Amino acid sequence: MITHNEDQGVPDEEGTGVHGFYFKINGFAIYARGANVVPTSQLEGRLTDEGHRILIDSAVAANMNMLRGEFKLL
Amino acid sequence: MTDLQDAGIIMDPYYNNNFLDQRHVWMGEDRVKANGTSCYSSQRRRRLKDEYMIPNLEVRSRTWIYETHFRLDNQNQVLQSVSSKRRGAEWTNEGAHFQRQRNYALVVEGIKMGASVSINGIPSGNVTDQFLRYIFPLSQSMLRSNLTNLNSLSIAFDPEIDTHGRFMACSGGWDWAPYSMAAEKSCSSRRVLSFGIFKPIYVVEMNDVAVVNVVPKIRYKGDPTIEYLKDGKDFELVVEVHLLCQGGNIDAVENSETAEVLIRASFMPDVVIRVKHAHRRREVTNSSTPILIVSLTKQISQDAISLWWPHGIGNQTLYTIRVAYQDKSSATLTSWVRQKVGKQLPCQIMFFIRFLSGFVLKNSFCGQGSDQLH
Repeated sequence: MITHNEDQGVPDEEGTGVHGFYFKINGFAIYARGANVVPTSQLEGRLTDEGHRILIDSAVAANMNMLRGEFKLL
Repeated sequence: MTDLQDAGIIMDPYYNNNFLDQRHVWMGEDRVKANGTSCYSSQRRRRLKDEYMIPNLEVRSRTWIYETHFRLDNQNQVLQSVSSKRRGAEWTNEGAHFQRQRNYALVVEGIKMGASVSINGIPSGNVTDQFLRYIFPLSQSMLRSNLTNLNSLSIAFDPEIDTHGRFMACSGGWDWAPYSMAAEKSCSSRRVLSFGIFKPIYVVEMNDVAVVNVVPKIRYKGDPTIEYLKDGKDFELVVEVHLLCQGGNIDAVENSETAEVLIRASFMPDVVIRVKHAHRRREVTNSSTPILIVSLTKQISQDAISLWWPHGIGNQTLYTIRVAYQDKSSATLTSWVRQKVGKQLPCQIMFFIRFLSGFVLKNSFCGQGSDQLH
């Protein structure tokens, strides 16, 4: 279960006053380390399956735990 | 363009000015306008000379057609591709185990976009959305049954086809790509810059009823925003099974005493649902044939499945759910359709992310090839 959490601090004129935005997974707050993935080519299908695999494996090797796809990962 | 490059008709469009110099090949020479139209990249207009202006996509005059031939071998039910110009496409047979009458359907997993599909010269329909799967039933009258049993499939990318569907959001619009101006009022419809077949196309042998989609979810029964989830807590499995009924005999399936959906997974005993008594609804799809959606909610016993965690925190446990449709009165059993599900499938259930926090370290991957178009 991934949820976005917003701590309910006491609101003031500048906001809630707490650093309250983070992800919870299965109820536990996590430190998200990730990347934004934009299309690897404007012409779909040019990146091979192996290329996709290397991309994801590289993210895993860099200890990332989140990828944000700016497009459907094709 | 990738297919044209593979065929040796054009050179690498990402290299130097090849993309522009060769545009007459893929756009068609006759009606290319050099400038004066609205669908240009504004950055290119400033930077490039007139001869390198990108032509308005509305003036593509060339229709590209992919053609191949295939045989439906009734003896061993193997579909053989005779010749295929498609790169990376596998013509496979994923037919049902058995049936009384041979029905076939052409399944198009992904075409971008604005293409008409014809079997033996008979139009089957248009593909107007990149992200939808299209299923075209093949009637016996469309298929050749002579000695050669040779059928032709053609997919024509006619620029006149009006498209209103969605497509990958990288068809220009940023500074690094030719701009298709897909949403501009000056363009009468969504003409995309790149197009082609990007996912498999295959023929399946199907019964009167086919399982065309399975949507499994595993839900936590408590409030995930205030409770820690632990293995062994209370969960429920929610499965939606999408049934395509050939010939529009949905009523017969709904009222049948013997029509059943089978669900099999390692974490629970087999489940048999009678369609007549199940929660169900109809949905009209792009193929104009309504889909019957049968829903099931099933409690999952404690400790039967494990939680899914992101990399570095725990295991990414996924489970396979297998679904089939059977009708004992007509001795029908479809193939088993498999789908993976996690106890927390991140992209399908309760994705409440609305704002990225400062804790997210972000990088950007940029395609190397795209840089060449600057």
